[in-house]
Amino acid sequence: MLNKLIDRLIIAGGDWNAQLFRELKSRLNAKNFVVITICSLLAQGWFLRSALLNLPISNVVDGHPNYCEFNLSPLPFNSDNICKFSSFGAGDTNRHIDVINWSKWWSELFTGLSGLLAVFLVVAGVYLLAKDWRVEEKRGTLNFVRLSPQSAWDIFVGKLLGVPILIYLAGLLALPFQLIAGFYSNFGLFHTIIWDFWWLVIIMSFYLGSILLAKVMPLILALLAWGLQYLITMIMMYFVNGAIDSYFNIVLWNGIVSRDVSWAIFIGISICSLVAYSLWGLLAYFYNNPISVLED
Amino acid sequence: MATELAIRTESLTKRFDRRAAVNNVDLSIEAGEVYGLIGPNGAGKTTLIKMLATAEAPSKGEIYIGGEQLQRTQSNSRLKRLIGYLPDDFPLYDDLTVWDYLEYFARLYKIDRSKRSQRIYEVLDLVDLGTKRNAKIATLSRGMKQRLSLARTIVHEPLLLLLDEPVSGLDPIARVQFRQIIKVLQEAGMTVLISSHVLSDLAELCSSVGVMELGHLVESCKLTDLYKKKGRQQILISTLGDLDVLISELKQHSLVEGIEKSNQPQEVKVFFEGTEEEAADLMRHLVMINIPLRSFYCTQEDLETIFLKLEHQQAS
Repeated sequence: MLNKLIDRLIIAGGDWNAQLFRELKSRLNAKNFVVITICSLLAQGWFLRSALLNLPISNVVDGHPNYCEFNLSPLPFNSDNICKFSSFGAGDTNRHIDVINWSKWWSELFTGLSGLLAVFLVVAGVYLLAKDWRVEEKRGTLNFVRLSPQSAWDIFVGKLLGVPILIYLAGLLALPFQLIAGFYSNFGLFHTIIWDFWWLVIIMSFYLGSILLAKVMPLILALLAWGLQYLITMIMMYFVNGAIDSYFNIVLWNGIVSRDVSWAIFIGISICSLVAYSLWGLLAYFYNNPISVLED
Repeated sequence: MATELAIRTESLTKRFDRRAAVNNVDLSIEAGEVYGLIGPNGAGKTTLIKMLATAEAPSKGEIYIGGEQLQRTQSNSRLKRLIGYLPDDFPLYDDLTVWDYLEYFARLYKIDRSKRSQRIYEVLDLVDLGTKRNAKIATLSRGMKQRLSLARTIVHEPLLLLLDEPVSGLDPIARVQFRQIIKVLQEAGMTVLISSHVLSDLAELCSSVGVMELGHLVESCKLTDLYKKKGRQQILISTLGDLDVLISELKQHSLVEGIEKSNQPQEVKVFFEGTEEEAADLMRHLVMINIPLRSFYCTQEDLETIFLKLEHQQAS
């Protein structure tokens, strides 16, 4: 049953893009599908469990429990929201009460999950694509693909979608969880979707760059170079996270994008799209003009 | 009416730094021909074939495939569908099955979905790999991999087949199989350009040959013309009597250029200048003077001997 489903998926993908057919054929099978599904679900479960353990459900003697906030809102409260072991007088329902700030909990869950997904998609995808490209170049198999009437666009789209297919699968399985977290956080579903789109552009530029670097330098150097670029991106993300925080009324991004997270993400998407487009142009050039060596 | 040309090049040149691997080559190959490209290592055969296959961009000159010019700045999608290229190393995807590999290339060459399976069955049948269609490529022998590569090269029914050292490293049986496949493809109307150091194979397959040396095409003609121009007629004569008597008699004949003792006992190889009729006269004469002839066989110098006589220079 699963095998038939996968076969149909491969045929459909192959009808759309010939290169995708080759990549899916060698990577997507029932065994890999099941293994990656279990791994993704286990990782999500572990992440959710870690987040739940941070909730104030255990005895806290000193200090302020996580996510408990003083609330002067009128009663009644939902009893589930009440911090049971708050040192700020839980149970004093006549005047004030500490409640669990679920938005903050979801926001931290969303930020953590998004970061984890991004790291996973970038690192694993870059490695797979760079390695695949090096192997193809080394064996010479790519030369035959070049001689076919397929355009550089078709080949790269097939590669970008097909080589990291198991990584995408793991990410897709985690996507509903991340969207739910985004929806319940102050970030909101709309901004979550834009955020994901931005990351998609960043990841694609990383992937294109990894292939480009794999073309011109050994795999290990390419990965080191991308490690460095990843660090730079993380620093950039730190500032953009500031933009998100500003949305939560914590002023880090204040004065740069007028506290508007949409603008920050829009600028980010524009810059990354430009980078991806430039990398794309370089790759297409190298693909169509392979470096020659003297032969018989 | 002019003969249709499958390939035509004008001043085709490829430079690597200051060295010209292919230098001002004007090549013409008629449609339907099997053209053999010979030359020592470093003569530029592979580079020339790569340029024809669009795998290498020329530094200078033009290429016409079926009368249509290859454009350097364009993708040449239409022309690429007319060309099948098999290099000497034929790399494959070991993780795919034979069928999946051919289906992948059938898709790359945009073969219509309704014809795809039928075409794959046809080429598998031609290269005798039908029983291996579900086998992983990694499990195939070298000969099978080579035949699979040929199947991949022809799966899109190209009009021009470019084969670079296709039989190198193959055992004699695999070479015979390969020659048979090439003959079938020629009968199907494909034009074949084949480069090989196995000149006996080329002599059997080719209708025309070209000789390359230091990047230049120094000879390009019909194989029969090459034999006439460069080859000498040979007669293998064996006797049941005294070989020295036979040799002394042959030395007196005006059309005999030279005599060599053959590897076979009581046999000599005679280099003969005359026509077939004059060779028949020689045989008649030997019989009339009571030399007990056991065999009298007219032949030509083979392609390898002719090639070696050309004293080609190796690229340093």
